Amino acid sequence: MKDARAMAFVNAYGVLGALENLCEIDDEAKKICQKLKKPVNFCFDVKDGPCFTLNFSADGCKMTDGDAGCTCKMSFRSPDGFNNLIDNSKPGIPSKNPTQVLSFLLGPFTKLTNILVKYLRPSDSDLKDKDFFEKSTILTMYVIGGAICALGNNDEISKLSASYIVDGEISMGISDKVYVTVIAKDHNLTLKKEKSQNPRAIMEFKTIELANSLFNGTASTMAELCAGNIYLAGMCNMIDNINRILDRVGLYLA
Amino acid sequence: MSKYPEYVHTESKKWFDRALAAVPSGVYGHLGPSEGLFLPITKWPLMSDHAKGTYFWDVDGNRYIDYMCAYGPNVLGYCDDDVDAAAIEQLKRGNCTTSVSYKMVECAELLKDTVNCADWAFFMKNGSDATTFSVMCARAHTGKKKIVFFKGYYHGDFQWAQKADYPGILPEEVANNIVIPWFDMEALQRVYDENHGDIAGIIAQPYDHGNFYDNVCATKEQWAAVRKFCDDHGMVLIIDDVRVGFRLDLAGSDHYYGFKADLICFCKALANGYNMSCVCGQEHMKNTASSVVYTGSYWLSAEPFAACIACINKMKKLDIPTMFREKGTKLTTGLQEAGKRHGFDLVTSGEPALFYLRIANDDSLFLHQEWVAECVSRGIFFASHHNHFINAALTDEDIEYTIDVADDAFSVVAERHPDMGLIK
Repeated sequence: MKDARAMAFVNAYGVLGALENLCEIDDEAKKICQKLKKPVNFCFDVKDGPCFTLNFSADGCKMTDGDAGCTCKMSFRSPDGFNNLIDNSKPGIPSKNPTQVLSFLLGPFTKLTNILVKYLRPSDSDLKDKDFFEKSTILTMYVIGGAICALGNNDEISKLSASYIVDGEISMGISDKVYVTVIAKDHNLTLKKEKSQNPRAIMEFKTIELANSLFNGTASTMAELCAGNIYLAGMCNMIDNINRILDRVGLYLA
Repeated sequence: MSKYPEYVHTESKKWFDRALAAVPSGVYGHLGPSEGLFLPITKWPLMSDHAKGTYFWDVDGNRYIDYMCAYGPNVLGYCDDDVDAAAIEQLKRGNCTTSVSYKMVECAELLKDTVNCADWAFFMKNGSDATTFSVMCARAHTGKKKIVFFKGYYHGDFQWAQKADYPGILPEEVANNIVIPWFDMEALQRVYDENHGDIAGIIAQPYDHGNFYDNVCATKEQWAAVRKFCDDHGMVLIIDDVRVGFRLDLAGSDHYYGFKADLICFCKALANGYNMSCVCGQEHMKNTASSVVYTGSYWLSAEPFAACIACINKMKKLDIPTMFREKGTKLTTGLQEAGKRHGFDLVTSGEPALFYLRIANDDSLFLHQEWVAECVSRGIFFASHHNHFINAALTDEDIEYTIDVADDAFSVVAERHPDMGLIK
């Protein structure tokens, strides 16, 4: 059972959060940002849901919480309304600087999200390209990291899992490719998109191919753990509970 | 330089690869690499060949002193001659029969004579069968719905005993579970009031022997307060003695802590590895136990009853609780001293018969997992996340050998981390 509010947080911090990384690793996305004449700080304000700003500039994209410093804003009457933007490209209500909202939304934003969707829902033929495969897997890792935190803080079942996670940093990654850190504090989860320097628990996939298979559901985490293809260390009960949230991530992102 | 060479696991790996092709996860559950936390997996034996006494040998021919005891069933030693002889003798006479063997009666009578709160015994196969039956009895007896658990509980893997976020579990299946901190009497009163008294009972282990944290022993006063609350509020008190049972007190862990459970669940040490479990209860629960519909194809097989009788008699003869306390204390004291010699703060907790170990130099268990792995790969089978078990076949020489290997393993880990300044 999916909850619309939790889904809105997944869409915000998981899916749209990955625009930060897309603008770092994809040349076409980089060019779109470089063409911006001035920074656009686009706020998405969802009633009873997330409020965040995507700050686009020639340097790329950075996500911040809240609406501080936003140059334009789009509001949504409900989490369902916001989820409709992601699922069906149905926009919300421009509530600040409507001209910029509409021009950015219909222009650079749509171009960027189209590229992102290409990576996150890749075709079999695209995946044959090694570079694409790698970027697709890396971006999926970032989406999953954001979604874990979004659900751990907002989905009722995942909150139960988070309630058993002790304070500390959980390092997750693909060996020598990409790392994210889930920081647990009083059972609230936040994501740091870099390798933890002081983890209490580590879960690391041996290869990017394995990570991809796990993300797309063609491999079993448990079987790969048993086969020794996933490196685990430290407070494994933290990872156990992250894995339970991961099951929910699969449901939400399916 | 390590004094003890590391084992190799070539054959283990081959067998495990075959297992992966034929069985989900190769070996699932607590005996497998995932839940058993074989970190890293290369250091662990994955398949055994045979076992005797306190040892098992893996398929590569490596011998292990086993402190996990199959996670509890090994109480007298693997392949105990007396228990096996009784079981084999019974097998020749009949095992799974239409008319139940009189051995069941003998077994129930022996349990009544042995277990303090037992006015009757009801048999099944696994710990989960026993805890589930107890919860059903509590509900049938009181006509109430909710069950109180203590935080960090483990009462088996049946749906009601899992949590809403576990794969395959519906929130509705655990909707009547209420979890409170251990012995928090204010919380108990609060949840009782919040649920308008619709609480059938409490299910708890004798003390907090959870995983990944130091185990916390109970006191008689704490249990007396819980017992009184249950009496005052018409709630059934269920003790899940599946893991601890007979290791602290042959009359039951409730007896050890000075109270009488309404229902008590036994499994692991009951028959030294032969497959059976049971629930014992006080007289006032007997009619309820009769009324609950609960049975299984193999539950009244005779071979395990014969093994159980032999096992209980031998546990009595050896005074297992005293022996285990002494052996556990000797071992953990020696391990702590070995750790100190290399700069490690090895914390031991829980009852000595079921000691829990944790290196406290870091807060992540990284060092602890490394040390456990080095012990295992030199023939001392510990677990990094779970309490351990003593068995009666463990000798003083085994304990001394264990401490020596552990000392060696500490030196290996210390040398690997020169930056931590561990070696003094």
